[in-house]
Amino acid sequence: MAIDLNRFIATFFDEAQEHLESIEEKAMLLDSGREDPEILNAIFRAAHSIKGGSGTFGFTQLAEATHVMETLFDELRKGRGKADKDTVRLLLDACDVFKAHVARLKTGERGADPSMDAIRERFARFTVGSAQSDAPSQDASASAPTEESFFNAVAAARTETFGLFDDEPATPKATGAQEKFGFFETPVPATGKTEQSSIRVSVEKIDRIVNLVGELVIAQAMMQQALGKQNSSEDEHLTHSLSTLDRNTRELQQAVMSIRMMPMEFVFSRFPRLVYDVSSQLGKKVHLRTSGHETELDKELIELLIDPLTHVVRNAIDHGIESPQDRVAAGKPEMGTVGMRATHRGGSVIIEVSDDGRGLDRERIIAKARELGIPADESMRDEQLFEIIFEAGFSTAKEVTNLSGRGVGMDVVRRNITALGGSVSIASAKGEGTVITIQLPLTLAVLDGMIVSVADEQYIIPLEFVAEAFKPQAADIKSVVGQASLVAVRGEHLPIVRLEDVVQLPPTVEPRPEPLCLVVEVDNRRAALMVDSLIGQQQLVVKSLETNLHRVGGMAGATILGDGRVALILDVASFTRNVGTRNMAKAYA
Amino acid sequence: MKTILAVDDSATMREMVAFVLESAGYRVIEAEDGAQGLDRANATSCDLVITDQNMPNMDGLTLVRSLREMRDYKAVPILLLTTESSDNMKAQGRAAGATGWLVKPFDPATLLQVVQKVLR
Repeated sequence: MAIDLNRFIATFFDEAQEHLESIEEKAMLLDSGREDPEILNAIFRAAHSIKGGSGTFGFTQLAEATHVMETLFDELRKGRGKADKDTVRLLLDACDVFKAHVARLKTGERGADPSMDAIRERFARFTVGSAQSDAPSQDASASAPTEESFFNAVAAARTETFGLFDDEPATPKATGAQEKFGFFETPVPATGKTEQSSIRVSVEKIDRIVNLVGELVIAQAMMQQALGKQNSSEDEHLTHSLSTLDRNTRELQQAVMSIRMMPMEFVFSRFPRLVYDVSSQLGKKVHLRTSGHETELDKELIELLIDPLTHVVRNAIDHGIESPQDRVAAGKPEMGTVGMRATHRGGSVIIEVSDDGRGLDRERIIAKARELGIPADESMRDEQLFEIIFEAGFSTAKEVTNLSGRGVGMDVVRRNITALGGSVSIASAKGEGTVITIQLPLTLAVLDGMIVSVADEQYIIPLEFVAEAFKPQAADIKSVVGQASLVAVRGEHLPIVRLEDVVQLPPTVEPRPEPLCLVVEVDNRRAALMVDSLIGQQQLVVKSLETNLHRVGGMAGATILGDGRVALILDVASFTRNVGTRNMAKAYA
Repeated sequence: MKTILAVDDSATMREMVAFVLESAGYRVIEAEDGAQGLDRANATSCDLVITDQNMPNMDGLTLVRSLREMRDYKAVPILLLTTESSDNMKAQGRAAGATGWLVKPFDPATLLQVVQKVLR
């Protein structure tokens, strides 16, 4: 029977990936000093499993390298030698090389990969040099296949491969090849991935459904609006059908969006390695504690969240956690802790990154702020002062390290998060630690928007940025020469931003209705947006301008309204950043 | 239709075994480790069990021994999938009560050949 093994390759790649992640995770457990034989067993089984699969598909280099890794861990799990820091380092390096190699194989690249030979060499030397020299064993060769026999076995196993105990003497293949080793095998704790109740679907297919459902929601809104114009109460049946359609459409939309949701696990799982690498580079001892792995977030946001979070965590280790000596001197445990926690709150996801390090240093922030020409003094409250950290170019790091100081500051983190419709805040206590809180919407595909109009145009303001709306009295509006006009709102003066200026409408001579002001707030900066009128609020399906057209300054996207008109969604942050005043009320609260 | 229980913690292996045997007209039930294999064997009567050796949550040899203690599985053929064909492996497999062994990686034709042989 001719069966093309290639049909199983995708499964093997996924499995190899899982095994490598598991090895990485176990390696870090080893590093934390846990003496659990099951850790060594699990690494052994994972290496063994990758080896088996690689052999099946003819990935010789991967099979050879995982074979020497397996051999080393077989020795270790049998108590011959002890895993140390170097073992962990080798293991982590190997995972990097293997991952890159698997990625190459995935693309169809089958050429020799020199880095695989190098890592195999390292393992081979390691087996002899370190593990065995600790406790040389007489029968190592009996329990662990030698290089030689293993590679011969690949060929041998293909020709002589099975036997039945009943007819042992007559078994057709009992030859000298018997002593050698066959190839395939398997291990590693199975994950939920293989549950029979799930199927794999490509992201493109899901996105297409999400898109179509978005169109459906718009079409449904159009229908409702069209019917609303007629006297729909005439036809009770139609009204009823329409409200059923409305409900079903929304449920369908929610159900479809939930397909795109992924657990935070996907983000968190990459951090143990990052924390390990960064802390060992800096000579610090750091324990990572994560919680809320099951918290779900839109796939797109998950991907965009990784970079900012990476930066925040690096910062926490580099600037937050003290050296072991300093910590002991301060009466703290030698090992610092970085925590990552994800929770749902309302329609948002909250991600907190905390550390129990030295906390923010007020004096240094003030000194640095003055250097940059940012007003700051000792009388400022913590909340106000810490906001300065988000200013462009701000970094109190004494020297630029290749870890945190890569030219990316907290301002970039905040800008990235704001671009996702979220916000970042910081809290810190000297000597006790720092908490960075990131709030994000659950999805980028729909948003609750306030529809406003100016002249005859309609625009959308994301509802989350709208704090309040009011009708300004003429007496409250102040014009200051050379500056934007201000409006007094309960004792606070906010700069006025005219929507017609933001969207650059030509000046009109027609008399305009009495304006309304919306207080908008992004990242603690507030402004009063002046519009002609409020139309209402609505859940909207966001269409990307970049994808469909091109980027438009000051706009975050577009949507289609119930009447079929296209409306632009304002990028509120783009104007509050320039004119907004800091929210002192909040700072002093 | 004969029912075959395939126990292996590698999804790649399970998929391959299932594909080969289903293509040949057998019904295949899969399990991810020894413990699950024992559950499945309890729930369904199988005509043949093919199990990997090295698995978490109960290894293959333990599974074979446990199956042999069940009344319904005293005489059901059990094949061990193994990476080696050493005398040591054979002695252990025979002692546990396995019917035969098959070295991995195997080609589909060999798998089918062994299966047909033990089921005859």
